[in-house]
Amino acid sequence: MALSSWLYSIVPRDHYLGEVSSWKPYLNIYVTTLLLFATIVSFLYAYFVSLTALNWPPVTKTIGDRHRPYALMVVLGAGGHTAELMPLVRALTEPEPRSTKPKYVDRTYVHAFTDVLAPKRALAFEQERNSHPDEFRIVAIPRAREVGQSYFSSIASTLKAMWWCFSLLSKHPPDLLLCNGPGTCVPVVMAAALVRIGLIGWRMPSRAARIVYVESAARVNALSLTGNVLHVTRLADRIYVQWESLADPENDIFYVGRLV
Amino acid sequence: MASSSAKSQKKKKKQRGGGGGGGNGGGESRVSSWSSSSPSMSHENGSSFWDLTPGTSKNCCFVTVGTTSFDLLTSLFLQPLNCIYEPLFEQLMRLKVTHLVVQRGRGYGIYHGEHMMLEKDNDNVIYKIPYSTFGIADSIEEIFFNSDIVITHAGAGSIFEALSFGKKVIAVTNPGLMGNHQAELADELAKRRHIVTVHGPENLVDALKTVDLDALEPYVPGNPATIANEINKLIGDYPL
Repeated sequence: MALSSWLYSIVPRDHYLGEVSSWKPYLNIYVTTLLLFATIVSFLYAYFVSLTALNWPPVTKTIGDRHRPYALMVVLGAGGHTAELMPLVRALTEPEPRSTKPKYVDRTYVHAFTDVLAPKRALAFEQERNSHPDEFRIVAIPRAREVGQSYFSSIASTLKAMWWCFSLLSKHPPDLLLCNGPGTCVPVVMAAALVRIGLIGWRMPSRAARIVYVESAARVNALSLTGNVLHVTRLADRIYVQWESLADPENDIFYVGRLV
Repeated sequence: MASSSAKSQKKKKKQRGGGGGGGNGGGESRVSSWSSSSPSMSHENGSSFWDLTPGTSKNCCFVTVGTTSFDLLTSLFLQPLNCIYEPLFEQLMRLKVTHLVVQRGRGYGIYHGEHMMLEKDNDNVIYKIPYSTFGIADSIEEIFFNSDIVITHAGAGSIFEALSFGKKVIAVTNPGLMGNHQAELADELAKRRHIVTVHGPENLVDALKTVDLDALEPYVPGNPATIANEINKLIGDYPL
C-alpha cells in the first residue's frame, strides 16, 4: 500500500485518466525506482565489502575450553569439479585426535538437481569414513542457469535458486563454504553473503561463513567466469588457483599447491 | 570397507611398481581382481572378457570420454559390424594393444554390440582385439587400474584420474566444445611432458604414428593438505 501511494504521488496528474500510449510521461517513475534500487544495492554491497575486509563477524573459536565443532558446506559440480574437491574435503576432515585444527563435524553437500554422479561420490566418501547419518547431508538445489538459457530469464532462476539456498543456509548454517567452479555455487555464495551482512535471516542461528573458492585445475591462463565474478565482486574471502601462472598474490589470488 | 581398503593398497603397490609396466606378469591375479563389480565385462557366451591364454601379456587400451558426449572420438573405435577403421587398427597393433575398452559417455555413437572382436587378416596372420563398451558407470577406477594406455577426452577430471593411476595418457581435445577451452590444460600438461595432447580426433591416427609413450614423465600429484592448512588458518583456529 505504501509503495502504490508513493507511486501515485509522483505520477503526473494529467495521466490518471485517459489513454497513455507513450512511456515518456512515466519516465520519472522508472528513473526514480532504478536510482533507488541502485542506491540500496550499492550501499549494501559497500557494507558487505567493508565487513569482509575487516574480517567481521569473527569466527567464534571455542565453547568453554573445548574447540567448537565447525560446519562445512561444499558445493559440488559436474564430474571433474567433484573429483577435484573431494580430496580437499578429505584433507580438511581427516581425523587427527591430538591436533588443534578445526573439526568439521557437520557437513552439507550441495549439488544441482540435474547432477546425478556428485551425490553418489559424496555418499561413497561418507560411507568410506563410516560417518553417522546425522553428521552429513546431501542436498539438491535448482540450477541458476541452464545451458542456453537467456540472460534475462536467468535472473529469475538465480533468484529462485537463491531462495532455496536461504532455507538451506538457515537449516545448516556453515562456517566454511567451499566451491570450485560450477555455476551452481553463485547463488549459494550470494545467499551466504546476504546472510553474513545480516540482511536476510537475522533470526536464524547465523554463522559467519568464510567463503573459499578454489579454481578448477583446468584453468591455466585465465580465471573461469565464476571465478571472475567472485573475484571482481570480492564475494569470496579467499581465492586459490592451481597453477603458478594464474597466481596474483597482490590481487588476492593465491597459489599454494595443487589438489590433484 | 575391507574390500575398498584392499583395493587402495593394491593401487599403492601398483603405483610404487611404476605405471605402465602392468602388461607383463601377474596376469592371473589381475584377472581375478576383475570380478563381477566391473560394468558388464563378460561376453554373451559366458567367457570372461579378460581370459588370457597362459604366457601372453595384457596391454589394455581404455578409451574414455567421461560423462560427456564426444562421438567423433568414440566412433573411431566403435565401428559397425566388420567395418573397422584400418589406419587406427594398425596403430593399435603397433602399440601392441590386446584389449580395448571404450566408454561412450552420453554419446549416441553407432556400434554393433557391447562386446566384439576387431579382426584383421594381415598376410594370413589374424590380429584380434576384443573390445568392450559401456556408457556411464558409477565407478571406473578398476578399468583405469587394469589398463595401460588411456586415450581420453581432454577433460580435467579424466586426465588427472588417469595420471593418478600412473597411466600413459593420450588426451584428445574437442575443438567444437565451448571455444576449445579444454586445450588450455592439455597443452600445459603436454608442455611438461606428462601427457600427449592431440588436437581433434581427426589427428589421432597421425599422432599415434609418431607417439613415444616411453618418453613421458610421471606426474607428481598435488597435496590437498597444503590448501587445507591455508583454509584452516583462515578459519583461525589453527596455530599459525
